[in-house]
Amino acid sequence: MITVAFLLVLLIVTAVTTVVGGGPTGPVGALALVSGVFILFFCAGIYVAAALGVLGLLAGFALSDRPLYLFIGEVIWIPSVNFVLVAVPLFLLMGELLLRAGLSERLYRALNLWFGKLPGGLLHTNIVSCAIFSAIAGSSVATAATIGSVALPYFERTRYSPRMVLGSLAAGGALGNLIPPGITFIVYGLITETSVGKLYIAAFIPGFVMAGLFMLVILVYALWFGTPVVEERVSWSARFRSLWDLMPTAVLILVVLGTIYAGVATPTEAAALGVLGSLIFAAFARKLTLDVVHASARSTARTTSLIGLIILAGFVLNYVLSSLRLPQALAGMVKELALPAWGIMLIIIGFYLALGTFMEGFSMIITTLPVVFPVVLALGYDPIWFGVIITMLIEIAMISPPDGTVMYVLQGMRIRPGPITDVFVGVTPFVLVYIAGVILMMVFPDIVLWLPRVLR
Amino acid sequence: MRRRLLTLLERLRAANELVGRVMNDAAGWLFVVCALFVSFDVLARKFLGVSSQATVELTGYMLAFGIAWGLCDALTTRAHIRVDVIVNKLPLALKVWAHALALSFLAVLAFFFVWRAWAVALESWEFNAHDSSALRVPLVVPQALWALGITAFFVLTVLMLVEVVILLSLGRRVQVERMLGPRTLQEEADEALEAAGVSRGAGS
Repeated sequence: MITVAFLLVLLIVTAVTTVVGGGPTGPVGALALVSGVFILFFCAGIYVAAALGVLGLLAGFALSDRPLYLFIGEVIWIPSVNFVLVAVPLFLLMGELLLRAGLSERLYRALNLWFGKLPGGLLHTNIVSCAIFSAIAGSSVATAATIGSVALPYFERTRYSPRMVLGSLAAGGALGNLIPPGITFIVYGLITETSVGKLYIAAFIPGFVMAGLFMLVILVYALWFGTPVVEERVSWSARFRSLWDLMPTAVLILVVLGTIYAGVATPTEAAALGVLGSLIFAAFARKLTLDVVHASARSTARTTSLIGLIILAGFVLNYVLSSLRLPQALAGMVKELALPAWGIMLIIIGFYLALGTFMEGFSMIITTLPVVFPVVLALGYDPIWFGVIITMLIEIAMISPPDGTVMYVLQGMRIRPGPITDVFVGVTPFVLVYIAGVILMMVFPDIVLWLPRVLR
Repeated sequence: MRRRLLTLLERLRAANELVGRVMNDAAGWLFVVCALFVSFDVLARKFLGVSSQATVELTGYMLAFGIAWGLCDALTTRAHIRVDVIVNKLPLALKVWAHALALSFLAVLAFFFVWRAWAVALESWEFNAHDSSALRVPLVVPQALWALGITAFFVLTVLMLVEVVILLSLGRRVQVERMLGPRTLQEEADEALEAAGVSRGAGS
């Protein structure tokens, strides 16, 4: 529904602006044609990679008299061996290992001693443990699955509303990619030639602002409706003893994020160290078996391949489009529009929100960035800032009903069964706050840009 | 005749899928090796002042290898991503044709990838090209391995496509749906749970 409404708005805006600013020119017509065919492919359920690649080939045949397809080999070899992209399988591997090594159990128990007393109790623990786990894992699904598997049994004996429990876990999971290190930033950095390290620095404050806003939602909810209070007294010595349980996590964060922020290691190197750290941690936890490593390796390879194929096909399309100079033409046209920059940015944000209700995050950025990014630059926005915004939009996609993997992972973990609509209802306030967060970063871009500027 | 061909194709595809699984495992373990190699390189550089001087190149080749060699298994396990909101709502009779169309597009893409990937490898061979790392790796080696992975993927798409066409001509739609039907969100969720379950089961 959102999609249809949004497309209508977009159509009207385009119609009005073309009337105001003169008729469409050659390259724009071509771009409209390309987009039209693309939408057709999508509706037909073509594999995202095949849709991108074949569209690139077709556009090359139809719109250029040069044999562009002869260069595909080089075009796909270059991203295949990109050192920055190597970080993707390594972060995936790290997440897979941690998921199987049981790190989250101790993390959750320890944090609960600290946050259990606040109004909203365990719900805060959900958000905080997800946020902390996000600082070592680069994926939202891994974060939600890892913390969810530990948290849900805790709620078994309590009277917390299952909607709120599931909603807070989904929201916490959706911090997975935003709080560095995240895989989305690597892919964004690759496509837009932006420094991944800088993106990680920029996402630091927004990540914790979002976690804070989520806790605020819980606080308001708890004060309004009331939540069960933990009766037992927790002594301060127990609290400080619990810090020991946070050690492995703290060490991993230091190894991965610390080395990136200190400028000692590139994201790829930090990811490799993270894998090493996870292996050592799993060994200490007596979980390091051949089976665990094998299952993690296998799953990593599969996910890397499916992301890789989309990236390679995306590069083919990107190559053809830029040979035809289409994105540049579009960027030029948008600049001439009678709309203010923030108006166009709002349209772009609306476009991603609509897309996110039915499309998966990676495909979303790889398909759209080659065209959207030049426009964003032409409007004068900072590429680092936009990287953070687009990652937030992808995270919103992960938890916006009806189509978000994170929500289905949590639904599958429920101990007492219930309808999926519980998750939908529970996550809604958090989705709205997430969108408010995007607007907040738009109005105050310094939340994103301050830290990279200071650390330069 | 068609049935006999179908049996043959099924066997060929099963063989290809097995090869794909082994290739995927190889790719996965290479990533483990890659992580250890990069870690070792970073630590050696910091503490011993030595480095392989070829980390960037070698890990890049590992990535290219990994992407290419995992493609088959991702297709077998129906992991490659499609936008299936509309397709899922179609009646089976139409849905199977959408599957066939999607697969044929994938085969076309794979064909261009294979053709041009081998051209790149061949060119490196002809010009005896080496990378600029300390090891001076002849580029044809990683490029040929990469092209080999894409080739296996292309062969699998073609085998599956022929099989689907025969199945459709025999009216066996359910089989096509089982082979190519998109993974449901439930299946994806189950997979994540299974992984998390390993730790839960072993932990308590």
